[in-house]
Amino acid sequence: MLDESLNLAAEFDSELTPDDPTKKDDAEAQTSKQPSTKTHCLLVSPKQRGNPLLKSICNVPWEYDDIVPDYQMGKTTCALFLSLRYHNLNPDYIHERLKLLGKMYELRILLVQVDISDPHHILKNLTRICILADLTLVLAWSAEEAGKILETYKIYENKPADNIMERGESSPYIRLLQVLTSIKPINKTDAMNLIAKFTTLEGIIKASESQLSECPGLGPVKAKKLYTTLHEKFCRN
Amino acid sequence: MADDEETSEIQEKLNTSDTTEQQEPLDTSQLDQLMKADLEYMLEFETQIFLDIIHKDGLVVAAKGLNLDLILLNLFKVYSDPGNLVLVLNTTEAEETYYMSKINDSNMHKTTFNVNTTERVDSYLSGGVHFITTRILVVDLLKNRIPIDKITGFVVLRAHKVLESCQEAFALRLFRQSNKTGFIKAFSNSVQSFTMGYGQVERVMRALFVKELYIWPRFHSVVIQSLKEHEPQIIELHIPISENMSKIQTYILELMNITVKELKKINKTIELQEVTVENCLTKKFQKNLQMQLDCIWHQLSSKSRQLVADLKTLRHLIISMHYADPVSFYSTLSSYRSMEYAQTATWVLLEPAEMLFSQASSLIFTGDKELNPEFCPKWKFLLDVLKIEIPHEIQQLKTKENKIVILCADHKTCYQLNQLLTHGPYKYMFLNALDKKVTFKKLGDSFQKCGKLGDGESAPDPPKKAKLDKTTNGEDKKSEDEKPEECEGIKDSYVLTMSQSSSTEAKDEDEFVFEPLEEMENMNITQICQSIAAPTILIQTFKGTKGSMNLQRSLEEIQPTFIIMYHCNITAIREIEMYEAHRKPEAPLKVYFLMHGDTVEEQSYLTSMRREKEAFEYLIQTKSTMVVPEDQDGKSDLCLTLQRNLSSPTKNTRQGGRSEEGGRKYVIVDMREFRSDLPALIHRRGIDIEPVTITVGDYILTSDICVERKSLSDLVGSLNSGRLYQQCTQMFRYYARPMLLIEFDQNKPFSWQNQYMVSSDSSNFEIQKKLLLLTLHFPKLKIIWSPSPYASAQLFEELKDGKEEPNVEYAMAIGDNQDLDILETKYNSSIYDFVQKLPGINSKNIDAFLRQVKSMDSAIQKTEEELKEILGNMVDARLLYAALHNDHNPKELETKPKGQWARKRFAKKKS
Repeated sequence: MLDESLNLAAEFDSELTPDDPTKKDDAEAQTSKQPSTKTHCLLVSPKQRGNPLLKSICNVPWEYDDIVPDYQMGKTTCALFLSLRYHNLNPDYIHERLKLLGKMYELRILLVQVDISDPHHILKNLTRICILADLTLVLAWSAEEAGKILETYKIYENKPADNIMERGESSPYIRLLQVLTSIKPINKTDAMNLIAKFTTLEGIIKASESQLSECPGLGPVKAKKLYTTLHEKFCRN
Repeated sequence: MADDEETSEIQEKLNTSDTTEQQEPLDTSQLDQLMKADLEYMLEFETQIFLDIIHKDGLVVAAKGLNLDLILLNLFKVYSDPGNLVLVLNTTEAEETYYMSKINDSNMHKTTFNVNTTERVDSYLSGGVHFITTRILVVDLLKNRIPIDKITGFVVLRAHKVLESCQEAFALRLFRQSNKTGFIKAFSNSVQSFTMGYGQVERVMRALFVKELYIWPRFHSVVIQSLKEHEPQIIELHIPISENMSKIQTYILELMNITVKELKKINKTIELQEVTVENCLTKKFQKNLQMQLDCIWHQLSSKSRQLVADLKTLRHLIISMHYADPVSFYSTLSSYRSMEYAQTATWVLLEPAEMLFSQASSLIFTGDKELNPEFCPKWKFLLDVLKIEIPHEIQQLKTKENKIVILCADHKTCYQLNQLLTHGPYKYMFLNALDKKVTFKKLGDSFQKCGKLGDGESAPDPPKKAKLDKTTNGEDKKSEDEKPEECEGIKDSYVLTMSQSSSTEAKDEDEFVFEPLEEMENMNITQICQSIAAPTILIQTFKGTKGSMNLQRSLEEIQPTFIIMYHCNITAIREIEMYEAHRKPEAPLKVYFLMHGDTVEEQSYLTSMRREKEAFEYLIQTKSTMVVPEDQDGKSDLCLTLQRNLSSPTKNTRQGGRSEEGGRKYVIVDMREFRSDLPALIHRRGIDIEPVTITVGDYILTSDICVERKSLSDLVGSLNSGRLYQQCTQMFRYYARPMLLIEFDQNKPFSWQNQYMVSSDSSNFEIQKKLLLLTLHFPKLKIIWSPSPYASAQLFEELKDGKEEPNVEYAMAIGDNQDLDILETKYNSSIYDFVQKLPGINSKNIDAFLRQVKSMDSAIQKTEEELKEILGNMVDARLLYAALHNDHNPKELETKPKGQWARKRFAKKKS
């Protein structure tokens, strides 16, 4: 792990130092350049060559391309990768990259790999940078996770939000589970057990407190809470 | 009892630390007030605690069972006066009603969510003693609804909980900031909670702004003296357990031992000194171990986690062996003997487990699956005591009203004993075996006889019994035939009468008949006793009867002549002692102890006693070396804890020049956010809090930053339910820079894994996937990852720096035009949340539904037509009706799509 990221660090250095004189022109050229129009695959900047996260991207095709950010997951989506350990050594690196990135892309991810033991202070500073520079901070705790995140972005490129929107039409059983779990101590398993035992919501409402408490997983405390909530008057006096 | 063997050294220390304190004479006004308290009824040590705490603010830590309610009662009596405003935090409902009924004065107030704002303000102004929910108090303090400078003081109960939730500490800090004269008096009965964590006592005392610590263990000489004068007469019955049981106990202990060793073997690096078989038996063990392992839980292998769970299971087994009857124990044990369970838990496959299973079956079967269970060894002794000893005593004493209280640890045992006494052991076991569906081929000989006898008797007997009761009570009684269905209910306590049976058909051994009294709930206990000449038996848990706050109080109410301790518990024993000492009787109370000698039961009793003693020793030790800063009480301006991290003065003036408000920094906080610690921590950083009910966002930091705070579990829930998507949409509608704050638990590692230890990694990533999808749809949503509320507060301060302050009116105005504050006060919130989720209910019809239907009980009575009337549309009514009355089973999930297909096809054909 340590070796890997040191390699990585060295690579970053080698990328940055020799190119230094030419970099500025490059940057200007690049900022004027629009995001690459290739969309069939995940684009990876050659700067990222050797990053272990590339190994875990296996469900989408990817190829190297000359892009400003580290990764381009869609027409309007890009990511910069930062390992906290590397950031510790070169705190200015990310500023340089951000300058280059300018205002390109709509969703700009700062993918941070948390690979130091006490990341809080650095993370706080990065959060502020993200807010100022209009980036979305996403954390990964390992290279595999980081790879998976990039992969997911590519897969989800055109995915509608149905998955995270309130589902109006789901099965009545699931709806009922949701209804029951809205009462504080009742979890999903409890709700399933309750429905299994009493079959209808009516049955649950009609059950006595002690009958409720005999349902597996429901102790006297939960049963009591459930019972009092169900039989509470709607209106306060 | 065994407490008495005190270490003289500690005793000395304790006494010297108390006497070094020179008692200053009380001033006259205080003396006047003291007159209100009736000191006579208090025991010597109670008087001393009372005087100490009246005299000087402090934290009183007393042993379990040394109830402080009498002291508190007198304290409230002293302050119950319109000229005082005393706020009491952390009381339970039972306590509140107890004190209110005891003092019965217009100066006692109870403030909960049901009291609306203007009434609250009025009641604060009228003074007196207020029992108040902390969350309301915090809001009222922040909104200046309470005249803080007029507050006489605070009384904090359960002081050990002050650190767990910041709310109490926050309230006290707000109070101390603007009130330097009021008192703070804190009480706690849980000494063990002060030994957990580093410097816990000091931290609690700092949070409470008290400088004095008063320690009152059971082995304090004054306590011993005051309790010694009137001791109950104790008869200890050491009951040997049967051979089968002792073997079972050995096997379970062996299994625990193996599990503990295994756990230590695979986790060599972790400090596991506490994990011993002895400690496994105590109640707190699970909690302690969990606390210890919490921060490294995700690093543990799944096997170690399973081992921890196994320990819990085994502990449960050993307890149920002692407490439950053999048949129940057997059925519990057999439930672990399944293929599925064996795949996860390894202990079932070990050799002792095999022996355990066979031993357990020989406990209830003889020969070839012949049901012939052993009885609990305690039953015989219990019946002996009830049938022989106590009647004998009664004859000697010639007392009229005889009340016998049987105390046991849990409701299940109460139920068990009730059934035992009413049905007799044979029939009870038989019924239980049927109930638990234990398979057996035939009944044992003695059982056959008694089973038949029982069955035969039960038919003609009930009416007779009922008649008997009618003649003695002259009251209507539920017919016995209804009972079998009802007897499943586990109640808090049971009342039985013991009467000499006059029926001739009963054999000599059934000399006494125990009859249940069903109507007890509507009746006062004393009434029952007056109406019945025969001795009354009450079966109760250690917690006392429903509605009374502790055992001591319920004993005072019942006034028993005999107590039978079916299980042991230090708290209960001490409470009996306290009761006896207060009663100052001529004839001592008789207490029978039923205890299994040399067993886990005895051991766990002794262990808990030892642990408490150690905790006190630790506390006394800490007190002797503790350094308390002079200004810890916060009465001077120098107090460090009170200082808020205000930004440097130069900055302040600059800001003051710019804005008219003089640089007052504030954050708008949603009312519902006061459940979390963050508001308190923000306030501590020198930023004012503006509590408002807002519908968009949780925290409004500046004119354009709006933050939605999600704890990890909230995040999962709201991503799954779709709420977060909606909240984000709302935030983007009204604010320029919405942010999502993901807050991790500070006591747990900063990562995803630990929260979902049971689930596999793939499902863990599901949540992250959803979060990524959210960012795709809200590309400008900023995500803040915060390891703890402390970090969040710090970041908030930095984000606010130099920015325009938020606009309260704007924040309140936006969102739904429905005002949530009104909603929340009009309806009970928990059932509101429930109804809101019901199918067919939406924001348009919910109000009508809640107003017209009144409660869920009546909702299930309504027909579809009636629902249509209320909801105003057939579709919703049908949905709601179906949700309430249709059968639901999980298979629906798989079959449903098919059904839909079929229906669609069918529809096509039709068309």
